[in-house]
Amino acid sequence: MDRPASACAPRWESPATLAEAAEILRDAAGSARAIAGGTDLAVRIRRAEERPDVLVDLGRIENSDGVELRPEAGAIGRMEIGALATHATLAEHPLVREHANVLAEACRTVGAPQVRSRGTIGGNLANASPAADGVVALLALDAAVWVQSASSCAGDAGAVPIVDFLTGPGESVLRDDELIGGIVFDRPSPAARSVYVKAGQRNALAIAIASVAAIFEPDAGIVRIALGSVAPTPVRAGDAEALFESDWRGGADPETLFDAVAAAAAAASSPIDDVRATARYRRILTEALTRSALDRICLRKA
Amino acid sequence: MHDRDDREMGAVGSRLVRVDADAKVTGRALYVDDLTFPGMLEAALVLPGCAHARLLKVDASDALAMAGVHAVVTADDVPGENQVGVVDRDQPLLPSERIRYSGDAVAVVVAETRAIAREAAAAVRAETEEIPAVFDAVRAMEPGAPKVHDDGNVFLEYRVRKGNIDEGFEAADIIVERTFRTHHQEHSYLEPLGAIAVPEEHGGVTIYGTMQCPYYVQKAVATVLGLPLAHVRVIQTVTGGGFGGKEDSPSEICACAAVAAWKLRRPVKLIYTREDDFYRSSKRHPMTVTYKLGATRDGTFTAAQIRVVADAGAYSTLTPVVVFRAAAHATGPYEIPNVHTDAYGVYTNRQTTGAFRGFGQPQTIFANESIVDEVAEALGLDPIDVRLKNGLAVGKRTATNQLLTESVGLPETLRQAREASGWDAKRAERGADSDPIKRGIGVGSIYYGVSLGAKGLALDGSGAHMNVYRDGSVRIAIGGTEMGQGLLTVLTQIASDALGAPTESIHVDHVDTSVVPDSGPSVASRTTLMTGNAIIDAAEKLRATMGEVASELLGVPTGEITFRDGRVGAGDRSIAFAELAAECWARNVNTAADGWYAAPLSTFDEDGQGDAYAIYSYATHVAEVEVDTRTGHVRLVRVTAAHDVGKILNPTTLEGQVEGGVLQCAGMALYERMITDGGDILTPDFSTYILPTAMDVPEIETLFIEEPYSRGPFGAKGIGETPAMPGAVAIANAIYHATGLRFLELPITAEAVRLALADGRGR
Amino acid sequence: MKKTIRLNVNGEEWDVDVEPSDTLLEVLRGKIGIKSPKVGCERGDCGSCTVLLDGKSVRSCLVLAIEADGRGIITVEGLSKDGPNELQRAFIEHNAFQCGFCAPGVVLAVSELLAKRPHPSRDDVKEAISGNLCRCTGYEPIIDAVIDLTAKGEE
Repeated sequence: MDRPASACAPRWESPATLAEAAEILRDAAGSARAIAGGTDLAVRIRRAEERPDVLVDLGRIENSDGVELRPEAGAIGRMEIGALATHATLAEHPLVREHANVLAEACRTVGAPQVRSRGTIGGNLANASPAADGVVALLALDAAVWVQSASSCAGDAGAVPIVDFLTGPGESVLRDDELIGGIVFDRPSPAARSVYVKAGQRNALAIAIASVAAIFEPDAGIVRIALGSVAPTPVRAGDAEALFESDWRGGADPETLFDAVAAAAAAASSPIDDVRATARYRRILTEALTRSALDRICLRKA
Repeated sequence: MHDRDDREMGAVGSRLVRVDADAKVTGRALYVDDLTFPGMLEAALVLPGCAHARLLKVDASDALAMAGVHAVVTADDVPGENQVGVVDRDQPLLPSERIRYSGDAVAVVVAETRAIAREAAAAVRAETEEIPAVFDAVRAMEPGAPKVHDDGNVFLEYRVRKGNIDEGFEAADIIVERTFRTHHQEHSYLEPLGAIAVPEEHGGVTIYGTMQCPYYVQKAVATVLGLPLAHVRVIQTVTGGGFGGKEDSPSEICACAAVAAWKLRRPVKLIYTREDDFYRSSKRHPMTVTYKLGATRDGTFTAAQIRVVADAGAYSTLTPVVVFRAAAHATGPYEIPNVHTDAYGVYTNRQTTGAFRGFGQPQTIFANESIVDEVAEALGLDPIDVRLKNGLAVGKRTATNQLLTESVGLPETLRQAREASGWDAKRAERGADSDPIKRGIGVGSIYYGVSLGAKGLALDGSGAHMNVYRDGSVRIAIGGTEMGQGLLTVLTQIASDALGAPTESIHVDHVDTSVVPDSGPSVASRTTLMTGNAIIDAAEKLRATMGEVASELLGVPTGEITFRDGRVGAGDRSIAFAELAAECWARNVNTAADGWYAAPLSTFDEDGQGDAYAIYSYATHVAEVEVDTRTGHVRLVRVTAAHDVGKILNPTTLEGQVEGGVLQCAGMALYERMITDGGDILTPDFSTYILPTAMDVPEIETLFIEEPYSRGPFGAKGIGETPAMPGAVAIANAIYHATGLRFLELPITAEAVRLALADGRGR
Repeated sequence: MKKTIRLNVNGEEWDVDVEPSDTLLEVLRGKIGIKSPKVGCERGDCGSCTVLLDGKSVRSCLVLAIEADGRGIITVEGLSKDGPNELQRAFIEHNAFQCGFCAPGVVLAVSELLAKRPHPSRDDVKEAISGNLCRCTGYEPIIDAVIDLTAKGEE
């Protein structure tokens, strides 16, 4: 049942930089929690599921909520996303829409406008839900995470690929005294087409019961497919990707190939039964959503 | 009964803008949680969360030791009778010996702030000993099932016996039998239950709360406090939605606040968390309905045999009235010569179940309207044709053998819905086999006995007090409750026409039980009918009184006097209504009057035969869907809703009622199920209990048919519930048309559709 | 540990003492006396608590009051200081609300939309209010009111 927050009387700290925030976390030795948009943490505090001694406010930190494209980095450029960028920002940002449409689409499907305007991509990533729409897209984009600790912010050299960053439902490698410093990924090729397809119980305010983030690179003849809500973390459908790569150029009939790739994607899932859906349905959805994604990005179907 | 000769309908029938819209849209409307009183404390309930247990002890020591806690109120603190059952006396307010469902509260904690009260409530320990529990009504009927109450689980039975059922099936060329299931549906009013109890210096108590039935609350509070009714005053606050969910449950929350306030002699506010509301308040009855329908080759129904098992939850609450309505209407709106219905109310250790828009009918409607479609298909007949063939009309008899003598709009609702929806063309076309998106169109028709009927709780009467001030302005006190449906607006229009006074000069108040006598509950789509007629009655008396003065002033015979458009008189001899009011005042003439309307008596004998309800409303919904066979997702594209309302009093508020009801049908059909696991609710909030959002809406077309009811205000009948009744089965029938999948259980989720297809069912 | 924060609510400055864990909803209703944001679920699921925070619609039950320190908050009381504004009048005319509990939140969500997009499509309106649950109206008249109001502006 509901538990009130009155016993939770934390200290409030408003650092000016992420490094300062990380210092506070370190000094609090596990009894501090960082709060950004609050759409996850505020609920838990109200229900006394968390009773931190210190709340570290990330809302006053500057220059950590933007999107930048560094054309000179990586093969053809690299996108850098501030940890505090909101879903609303990413859904509408021209750079994201142009170069990483899958991320814009994914962020657009989160909750509702009031949730998107507050919830941050960093918070979503740190929360590590296997259903996190933005995270599924980032996985397809082969994104990596800068980890900010008190002593340093691990830049490119220490960026943790998302596939290694997430370790289980609600779990990541992030330690109590660490924060997400930023998210980076190599820009897909200019000809790339990407899409995010989500199945929920209704058309808004829906947690995905299955989702697919897919990117098609026509020049390289590959697709990258990430699956959401069907495993302990978002996962890449490696076998499905390999199958596509080996057969797409060979002139295989798209319908047959896509059926096989979609089936392989479903095989890559390991869903569970929960109050929203059964595992069986989630596997079927994974196949259907993958199929639909391929139609749209490879064949340009509506 | 009502002579309409001297009254034109100016305001009635017009799109008068809601009288309460301004306050609501500017944030000035005050709901119960917006109110504070000097010295007010806040309360929280202690819910042990056990489904079935002996209560050994309530240990409040930790809670009482917390700073800011004033009291922990338990059964021992109830000064009167610890009983809050609405019909049957089977429900303690605060159990002292036995917990029967996870919504039972064993204590009320009172503290300085809500946060402290809730935290202290979490610290109260209930020592319990688990008892075997039963979570399914059909199972609960079996011998050997755990008993929820010592007298046994089947506590209620209604039957309808008409004609000879065996002969009826003998005469049939085709017989179809199916068993249908529905589950708990939660009203999901956006304003949670809340109450404030204020002890009064004179020894009584005043209750403020969000509610549909102030007189139920009055009775409940008087009972638990051991006070005469005259010492309990109940004032209904602006109510943020009800849909039946605020019929019985407010009695419980108001009584809890009252006991706490009484003990501490201070105002106490109790507001449920959303989760409390899910656990504690009553839901729509899950039902298992077995339906057997026989028909001859030409589509004439010959026999209907129906068995209804309603899950009453831990306490009876409104089950007797719900099951009565279900039994009386289970055949659907058809004349069937041979009917055999058995309907049971059965205890389980689950959430209590009470009133929810449709009140027992949506569940049986799902069964009967599905079966009608199946029979139609088997006979190669169009579903609307079959309904027209068998449908009720003037001169036909219902399942309770009631002869319908007037106001039967069913055939017209079928015809208009058919035409407006493009039924015939859409019924004939079917998506190409290769198209993953399948289209379908389906229909559902219903009838609904307005007001409480033969087995309603009380004498079916309502009052109004009308006060004309000396400046001609009018203030009206009523016994019926506005909960968003537009009642205050429609009553303003009725009063305006009855007095010939402009709508701007009339003010209708929310209910205060100290002003108007017991007017019964605002349920059963009865309020416009009952309170409207009471207002007309009061106005008649005022017209007589004031008319005499006018007659004297104008030298016109009283028989010729009319009250119209703000003037009173005859021909060119008239006086302004306001002026007449001043003249009456100057002459010490009383310009206040009480009105009363009592519904005609209804009957329902041991075999369920009789004139079960005074009058019936009718409706037909046609639903169009698109089913994505790849994901199972059902898109509700369009609903055509045709309603026989007797008389349109306000087209705008009427449309609003129907549009909202259509979406509730969509919720019942496609999204909503309160899922439980033993005593745990797995969907205790709005992120897991799925309500449709603005991005899930269909197109809606509303059509209104007027078959006037001779005893209704200006001919109007009830409309509150019918919009939430035919839509769910229309959607189910549309899904069948699209896919060949016949679902016997609601909701029909995308998963249900997709897995059925994966199992090879359907076309 | 209590802190004093400054909130600008509907144009007025307020200094209030808050615990960091107090929500903006609690502080607006309990300390400042602004009653229009409602307690519907306290979990961020229903939208009845919606306010505008620096022009963006947020769920005030999920915003800690201290996060709003130094910021501007608008509620429907602020829109209607001289009586209902144009948008509110459109809602009144179209019977957009019945029980009214969701109304303040919806009005603000739409206000935010119209500030960004003065001539929205029906789909735009649906998306803008997709976070506000309404049980009474079926949403239709809300959408009709906005389209009707903004279409007139186009003529």
